Amino acid sequence: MGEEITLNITRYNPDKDGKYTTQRYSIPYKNDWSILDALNYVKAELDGSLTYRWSCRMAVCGSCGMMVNGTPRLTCSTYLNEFYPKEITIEPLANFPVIRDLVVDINDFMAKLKSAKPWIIRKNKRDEDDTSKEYLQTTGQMDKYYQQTLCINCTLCYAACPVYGLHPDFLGPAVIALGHRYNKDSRDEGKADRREVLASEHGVWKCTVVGDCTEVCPKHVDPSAAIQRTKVDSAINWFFSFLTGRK
Amino acid sequence: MDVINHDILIVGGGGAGLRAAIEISKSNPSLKTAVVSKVYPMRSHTVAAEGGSAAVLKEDDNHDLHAYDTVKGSDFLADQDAVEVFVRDATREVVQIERWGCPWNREEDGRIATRWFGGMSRKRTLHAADKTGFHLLHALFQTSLKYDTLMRYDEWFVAALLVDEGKLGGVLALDTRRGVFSILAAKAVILCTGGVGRMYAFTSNAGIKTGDGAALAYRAGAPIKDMEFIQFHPSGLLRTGILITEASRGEGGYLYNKDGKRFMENYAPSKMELAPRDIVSRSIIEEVLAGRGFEGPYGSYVQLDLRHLGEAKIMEKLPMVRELCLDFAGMDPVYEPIPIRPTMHYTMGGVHTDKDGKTPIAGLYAAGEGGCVSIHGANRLGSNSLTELLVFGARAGRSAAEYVPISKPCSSERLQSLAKREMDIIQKRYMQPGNGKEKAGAILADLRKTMDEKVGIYRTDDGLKDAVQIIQRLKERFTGIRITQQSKVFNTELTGAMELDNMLEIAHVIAMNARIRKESRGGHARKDFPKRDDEQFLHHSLVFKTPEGPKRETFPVTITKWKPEERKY
Amino acid sequence: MAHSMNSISGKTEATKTYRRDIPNTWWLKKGSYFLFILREISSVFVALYAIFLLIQLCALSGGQERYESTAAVFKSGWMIILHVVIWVFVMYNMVTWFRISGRIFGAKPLSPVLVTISNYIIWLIVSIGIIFLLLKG
Repeated sequence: MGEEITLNITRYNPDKDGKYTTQRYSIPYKNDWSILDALNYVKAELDGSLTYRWSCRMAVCGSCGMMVNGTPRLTCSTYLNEFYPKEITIEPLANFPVIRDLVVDINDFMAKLKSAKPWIIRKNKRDEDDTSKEYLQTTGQMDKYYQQTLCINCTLCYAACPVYGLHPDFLGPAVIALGHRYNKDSRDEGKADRREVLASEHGVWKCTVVGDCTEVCPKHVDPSAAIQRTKVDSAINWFFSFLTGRK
Repeated sequence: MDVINHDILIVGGGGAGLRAAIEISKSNPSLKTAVVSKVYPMRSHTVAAEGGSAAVLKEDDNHDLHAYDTVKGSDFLADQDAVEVFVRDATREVVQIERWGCPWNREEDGRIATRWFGGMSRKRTLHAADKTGFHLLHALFQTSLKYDTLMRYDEWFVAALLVDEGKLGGVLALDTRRGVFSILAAKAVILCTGGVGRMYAFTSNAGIKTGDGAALAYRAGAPIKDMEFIQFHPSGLLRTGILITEASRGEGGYLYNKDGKRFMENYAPSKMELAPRDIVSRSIIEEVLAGRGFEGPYGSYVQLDLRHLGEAKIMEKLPMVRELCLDFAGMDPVYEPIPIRPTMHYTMGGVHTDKDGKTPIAGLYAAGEGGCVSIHGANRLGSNSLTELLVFGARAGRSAAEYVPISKPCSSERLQSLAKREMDIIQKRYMQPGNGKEKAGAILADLRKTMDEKVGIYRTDDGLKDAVQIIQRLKERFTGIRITQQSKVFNTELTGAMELDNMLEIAHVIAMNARIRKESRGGHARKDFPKRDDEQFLHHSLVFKTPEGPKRETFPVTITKWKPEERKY
Repeated sequence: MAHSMNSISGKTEATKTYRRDIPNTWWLKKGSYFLFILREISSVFVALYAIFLLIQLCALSGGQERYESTAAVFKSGWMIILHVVIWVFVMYNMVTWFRISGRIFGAKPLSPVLVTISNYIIWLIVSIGIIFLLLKG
């Protein structure tokens, strides 16, 4: 028997006993294994009932986010060798209700995403489906929003955000970042349509700039910056509407 | 059992499925349309496509050139009428997705930029850095959110198609969250379920790519076409098989063997590294077999060198390649060559459809990698598949939307009895905890090993004969599968067993077809029959499920403008 | 039945999910949370300083006698200690907001670092200006 590593994994099965517990598994240590490889090993060899989501195993589908020793991480690109020989604690993403074991309920996120209208809005609706010609957009114009297009909806930022944890109504980092992404796209004319949601009491002003969303983002989307910039936009808009008396 | 009524169901929420859904929602919002997917749509494997999407957009290009490149790339097995439709619609579709927010890379003047890709005679591959599939999927998904009439069943697993006398009536689906099966009734179903990659061990494909749609259609009586044609992508990252995009060669990367030679000059002197994928993959294997590969703890490999492109260009055009290398191979392509070897990448075959996604079952459609029109024939050109999702997703959506108003729904009683029959099978095959001895993981591991070793890049009669026998044995072992739990909520052991069953079903067809096709064409290379044989094999294979086992028929290839010729690059 | 474009599996009442409580001590669990709470608390000290300033201004307008008695209070030992504490928190508050301003305005073509550094430079110039005025006076 070679080296081993211990995983402490959260278990919860509402069908069984409904208890929220931690189970220890000792598995062979391989220095090139990701946490996801380790979970797959447990499921295939030790315990077929262990439940978690995964798919692409190349850090782009956003399925496999979990709390690894208390920090939200993509488990496909987090390696055992970062922790070995210490034990690793693997829990479901914080701040979300747990469905089973390491699977959390992200439907709240999905509903919020839709509410921010993350699609190109044009004043002339016919523009949206016009295929005769592309919109022109320079690289400089793209730079204004491109960083926020990189969000893979992994929801690690929600797990890192204490505001979302304490106030589940908060729109949250990724959704605001994606709203901001469309606001800053030169092809879009829907900023006013999104303002109602982004600048609502559950929107940007709930954010107290903890900044952890940006720290944990595996794609460097910098949601924190997007939120602060949306605050500035919203404040400027308020100021002008106050001055001109327009809504 | 619950019956929920719909007009159209789209199974699969990847590129093709979402494109179909948007097409229907946009053209006829009164239709009750829903996307059923075993994962949230933005997790679908379209997300992992990297290099780009081909379409005629530039002044120096035209539809005939794109069509010819595609046909030649297919080793003349593509249906040329379908290819002509494809290249024509492609131009419109890539502009449409631009209008929906896809951040295509741009020229200086703000127009969409293009890059070189393998087997393409013009620079016609549109791209969003090297995250094209990701951007395309998210643009489609986010755009789909604006249609309030479009419903979604997220994390529902379709277990069977319900077909009544040759006519589609709905699907039997498992809500994985609740662990409850329901009948989703529909007049039309569009299968957009992707390929079969996971039956191979060394693959670029995600865990969800288990050939579900092909298996569903096949069991329901629809033929599956050209399943023997599997694409191996030349540049799979060593150890994991993760894709390193062809764009890395399109942007100027070189392939080197151990002797420091750009070996592609021996195989495709005019195209070099940008020959089609089947040719480059075989060339790499030839180098390794000749002892000119590198050897390491993860097996033999060659090198893909990007260092001469410089950090700035890599960061601008290939940032994901760099991320993947750093995260999954612990090396930086700015300073070191990337160790690669061919990885199973794409399923050319799929559910047999016409140009509008129709299958021989009334009301059943298929599109995307899971369907087979066929525009890829024996080998798909890189960057044609993202475009295919858009073109044939939209076409299948349109034709289903036209079919629904003139069709009648299946009666609820009939659906109940069809569903009951399927439920009995499911109960027996996948839900008998504690009875069996066979571990699903062990069967899957054996399948993947068999496919890699015997149904890989080079195939022989002996190997394929073994493979068919092994797969048959695995199918028998599957009947004794061990299920440890009866839990309802999110039972991935149950869905995993269903996926494994799907893979076994299709693997059998692949190996059988590969054995019968005694020629080498595109992605199907036989050591014992190294030449293409147009006299005997210039046809598609259609396989039907019968009680006696898979039954193969042939189906003619449509040739319009381009007569088969020797394929040289 | 189905919500439009909402997952139907989103019927949360369908399955029992487990909701984890957030303990009141959550901000002690992580360095970044703790520093965040410190920044939030620092605003109390900023406000306190503003109040002190107002008291002094009021006193000033109330004539020399009143100002001197107020000033005497401000010269006491505990007041000086309190001001040192206030100074530390105000500094902390300022430095953290300087960093955040980089995030707010640091979009291309401006780099966040540039924004933050220019903040410090402006701060330095203003401080030197004030010191100069004080010494001159």
